[in-house]
Amino acid sequence: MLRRILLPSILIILAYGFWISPDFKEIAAGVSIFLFGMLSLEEGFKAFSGGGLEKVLRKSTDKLYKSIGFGVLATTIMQSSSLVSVLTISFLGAGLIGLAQGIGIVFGANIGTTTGAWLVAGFGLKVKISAYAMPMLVFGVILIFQKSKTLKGFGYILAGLGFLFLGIHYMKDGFEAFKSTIDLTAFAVTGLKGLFIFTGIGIFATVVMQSSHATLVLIITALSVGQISYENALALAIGANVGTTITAIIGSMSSNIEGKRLAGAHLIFNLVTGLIAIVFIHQIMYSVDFISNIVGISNNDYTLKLAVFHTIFNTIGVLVMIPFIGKLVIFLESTFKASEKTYIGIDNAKYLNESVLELPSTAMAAIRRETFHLYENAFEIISHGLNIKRSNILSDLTSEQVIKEGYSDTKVDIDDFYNRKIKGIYGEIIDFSTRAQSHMGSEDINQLYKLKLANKDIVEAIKDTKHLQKNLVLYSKDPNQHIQEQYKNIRKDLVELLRSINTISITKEEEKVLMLLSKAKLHAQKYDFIANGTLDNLIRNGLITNEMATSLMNDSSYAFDISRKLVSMAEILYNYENDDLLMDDEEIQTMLNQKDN
Amino acid sequence: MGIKKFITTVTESLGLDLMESTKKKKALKILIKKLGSKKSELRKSLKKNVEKKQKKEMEEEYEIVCIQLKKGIKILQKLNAEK
Repeated sequence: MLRRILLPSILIILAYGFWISPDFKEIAAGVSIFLFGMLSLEEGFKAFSGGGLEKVLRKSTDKLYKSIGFGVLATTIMQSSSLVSVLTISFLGAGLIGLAQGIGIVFGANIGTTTGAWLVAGFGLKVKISAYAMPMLVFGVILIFQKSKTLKGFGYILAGLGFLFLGIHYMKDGFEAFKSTIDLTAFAVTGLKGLFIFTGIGIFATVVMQSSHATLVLIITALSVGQISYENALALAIGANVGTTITAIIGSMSSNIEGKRLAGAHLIFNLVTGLIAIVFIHQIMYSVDFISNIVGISNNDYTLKLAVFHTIFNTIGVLVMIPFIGKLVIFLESTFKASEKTYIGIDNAKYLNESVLELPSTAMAAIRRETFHLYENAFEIISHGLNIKRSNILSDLTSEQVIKEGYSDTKVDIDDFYNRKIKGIYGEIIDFSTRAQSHMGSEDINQLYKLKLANKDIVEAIKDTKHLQKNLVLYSKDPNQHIQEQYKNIRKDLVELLRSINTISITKEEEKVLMLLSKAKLHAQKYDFIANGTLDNLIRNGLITNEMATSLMNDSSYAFDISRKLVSMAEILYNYENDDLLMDDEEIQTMLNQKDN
Repeated sequence: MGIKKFITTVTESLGLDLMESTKKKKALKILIKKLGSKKSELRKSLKKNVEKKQKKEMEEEYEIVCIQLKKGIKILQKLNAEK
């Protein structure tokens, strides 16, 4: 209801304002151009998000001080704490970072956002920045029309900065002209009442504009021409800080539970910081004067003093909250719990969330992680289908010992496992991939196609296990030792394969991964029972019946398919840097022929 | 100078298009070096007196490393030629 009324009300108020004051129109146009610049800047940075950014993230967020540092730096460069928050939620949702790391980044982003105030107060208002805006816009737009993703990204950043500068210029001009018609300082409210009223206005303005940066620039430009009092400007800045959390909250709505927790942390942090600033406003103002005197800021340079104030209260907020990060994580984890709407035992996708759809590399990382998740479940189903305990495969037991100790005396219902642990996730991966694809370039689409193939391989390997399971259970207990031996060997070889894939998944050395993959591919040929003469030998010597021979022939083919698909899946999932070096079927065949000769 | 030419010049001078292939080449060179040392390590081990099963396994690994090494060098030569 409120949302329905809000937009028309804002539009009517703005239209009325434009009608009665052309200067107000200029200020509003300045804000709009500034916000458009922010959007353009965000678009540009999105082109560089993921990939390299993920690597930087992993390396620079393992310790709290590094996470905070990353937040400061990223926000200083991108000039948008909202974008950093939304990106952090996306990375958190995709499982690239943990909640404590995410909180560290958000804390850092709050300090980073203060650089914006410094830039505008110290540079934007003292230099004619509109002179820089025009060439930036021209170069930016030319680059935007280029095909290369990198150039396009640079173009958006350049155009974004151009629009930001232009927006500041219009705001400044508008306020200066506005001053001659209406003196806004007449509406100044002093004391505690003023503090609360203007904090509220700051929150409202930021919620409407969805950018604390834009609110802050508006405050600084108004302050620079004396249209608002210094005290009220401080209150507005506090409000802007609280209001900015709304962007992260909106961003988290489409995210998973981790994203919602981070948005909660952001809200708590900014509320606490705002409260501290309100309670200790006089002490902080005294500190501002003290620091300003030390660094040489004149007593009546209120815009720079506002920047000092903004920095001090955000830094105090971070310092106060750091000791409570652990408790905050516990609180958020107990407050935001995963919904229990799913049936017991049904597994769903963990890493796919809407917030990463527009970030190609992060979306790819999420799909990759989800495929790992799918494989974990498939590993369970395949091992149980072969009547083997998962833990034994991962243990130091010999493969002989592993197959000796079965998982269950009865046949495991693979269909039930499949419906509970595979079908849903697989469906979600395919759906998510299809939607993510529309934001990807041709190279990414190619990579995504490979990932989809890996998922298909996993699902098909499970289906083959289901077919193999029928006779495997039957002949593993058959009195005929020869047929029993053959099925034992099939199980043993598949245990070796699952072990190899597990080693590949935890191995960092690329040459080792390549070796294991090649060996697994080579060993899969063992199942060609007709070619290697096993079947001929068993039939010729009357060791197995015809029925057994047919079953063995079919089942060896299923085992071969399982191996082939799992190796192909591992090739895609675990070796994507130098995949050209992987051995192809022709090379495997040549090697086998050489062996025979 | 046309816009396209200007962009190409800027791209080339900043080395934006070369960055990726240089990165790939560097990674490949490191891998080739590692495969080379694995090959010589296996060759040395094969000369020693080892169990038959172990020897068979090492021979297989040696053969695989040789194929991978050959492939890697070929790809590297191709990448160098592209430059």
